[in-house]
Amino acid sequence: MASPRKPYTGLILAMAMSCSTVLSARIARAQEQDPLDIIVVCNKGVKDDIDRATLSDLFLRKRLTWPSGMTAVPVNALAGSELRVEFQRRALSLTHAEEASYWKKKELVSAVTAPPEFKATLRAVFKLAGSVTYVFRSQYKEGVARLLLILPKEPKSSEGRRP
Amino acid sequence: MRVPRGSWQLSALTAFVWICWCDPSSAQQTETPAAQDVSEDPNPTSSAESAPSVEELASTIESMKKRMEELETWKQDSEMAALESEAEGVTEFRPSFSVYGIMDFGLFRSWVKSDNVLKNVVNEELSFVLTHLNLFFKSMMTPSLSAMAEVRFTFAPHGNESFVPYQRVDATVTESTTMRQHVLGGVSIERALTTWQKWDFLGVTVGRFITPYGIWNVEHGSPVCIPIFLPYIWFHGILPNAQTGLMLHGRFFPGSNHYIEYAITAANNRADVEASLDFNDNKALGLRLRVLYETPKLTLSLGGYGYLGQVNVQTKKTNVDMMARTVKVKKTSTDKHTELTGSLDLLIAFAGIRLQVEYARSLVKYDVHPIRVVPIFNFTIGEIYFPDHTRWDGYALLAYELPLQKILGDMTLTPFVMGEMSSPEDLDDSSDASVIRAGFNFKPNHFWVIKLEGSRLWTPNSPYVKSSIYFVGAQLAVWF
Repeated sequence: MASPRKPYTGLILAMAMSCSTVLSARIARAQEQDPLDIIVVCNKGVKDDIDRATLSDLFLRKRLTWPSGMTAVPVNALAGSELRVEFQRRALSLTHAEEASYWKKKELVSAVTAPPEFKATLRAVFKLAGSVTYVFRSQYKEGVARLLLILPKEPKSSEGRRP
Repeated sequence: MRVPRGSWQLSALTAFVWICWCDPSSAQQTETPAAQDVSEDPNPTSSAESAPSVEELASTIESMKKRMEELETWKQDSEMAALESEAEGVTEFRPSFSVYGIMDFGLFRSWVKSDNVLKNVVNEELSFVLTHLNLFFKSMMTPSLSAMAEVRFTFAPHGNESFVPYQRVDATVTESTTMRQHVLGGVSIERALTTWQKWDFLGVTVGRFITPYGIWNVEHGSPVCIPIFLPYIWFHGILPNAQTGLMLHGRFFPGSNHYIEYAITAANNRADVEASLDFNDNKALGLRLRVLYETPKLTLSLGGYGYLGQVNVQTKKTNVDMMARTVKVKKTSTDKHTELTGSLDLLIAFAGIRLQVEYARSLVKYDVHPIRVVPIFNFTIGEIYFPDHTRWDGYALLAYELPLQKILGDMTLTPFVMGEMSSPEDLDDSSDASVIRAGFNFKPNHFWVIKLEGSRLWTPNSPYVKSSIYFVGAQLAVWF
């Protein structure tokens, strides 16, 4: 005799399977999406994709334009902030003191000054054409700016990952 | 999305636990068939009627999903609106103006033996000196248009000496209103330029700019240069240190961390007043090329600069004829020559080691030969003229930033050695000179550098400068 409970068992099994898959995917995403990952974003008008070396060139003003020729406007987080220090380490491979020395030298040699600093970098990039900046993943809001690179908290290689 | 290793196992395990938790009877089914009978509902029909149908459940889930999506969209819209209102104050560009500067103080001592012609010419006594006080004015008028000036303030000519006949400039004046004494100094325009650069591959600079040759000349300024004393290649002026004219420059990016830089210069030819005038229609031309590979850990750079100029030093004599009521000014060239110069520079920086090498060679061909002047003393020996000649200068600098981060933190200690050779004229080797120096830089932070250096200069072929001259110096270079 066919048991009346069988359809429910199947349904529960299916739901349990889907729930467990969702749960494990969420755990996986949580493992991968560390809130301290740095998300590099640009203004939505920028159509270029860049690698970490180009990102470093933009923020050190070795490069003034995006590969397409559009003027680049790098936007830094406030000097000394945790975000800035982490970006210096992960993207520029410099300490705070090394970057400060770099700009001092640059000022003397070519009169090039460091990019402007903003407390709310995402807000600046939302507004400024050609701008590029970075935020911690926990501060990132989808749809505000175009995602360029992810700089993981503990990078396995020196390269930033493309999203 | 990449799923980390083990997530499928986790998924299966979670499913198993979920099933056991949601429907313990089914878990027991396989193990204890007897228990199944005990737990079996005696009236299955009534249970099926009271439970919601699958369609109802699916519909509920669907409506909840829809509601969540609506809420998410609403949240994003309100965040975006808030961002737009917050970003109101952020402007595309604001013109900027900044002032900053460098200065350095030194303490110098030298030793010259009595058999050396430079005895009592070079100041041997321990002296404090203020060698640089440079102010930089920088303005960004638009995102692609900037202006910049570097002005050096100096005590010179106060204290300057000339030996034949001997004179020493004393620029001390007494102010008539307060009776205070002042030492009048000088102002030197090191750079004054306007640059338009919209693209990396093309920039246009007009004004007085630093000649883009070598490493030392470009990276000048006491807090940036490692040694205290300038090399011969710089103060012999085998190439002009700065030029007044026009420069096109740019940078290309053939690959990640690879750069190719160029500069084309057209400027006044060198003469005694080249900063403001040129007595020649043809302009001095120069071409700079540099290839560079640069990562945070390694820098490799090879550059060159070629320069062609026509020097024309003129004097003018005015003849006034009162009878004929005429005034005539006659020009006479006292030195007219073509100079063709090439320079090479190499920089390797790796793991704290910095190797910097520069070499320049120049061919000088005269149309009007000037009378030979004895250097430093500035007197002539009869009618002896400078012949066509070649000259060259070169140096190598090796520095090592000691890996003392654990002890010094962000402070750096960099010992260095440097050797240089100079031949101002190939037909007369009596002026050839060699210098060796050693010392260190200590940088407590990025605002100041302390330097200590000792050097020895000797002229192996000179009948006048027979023995070596020794210098010791300390310097504090400050950014402000």
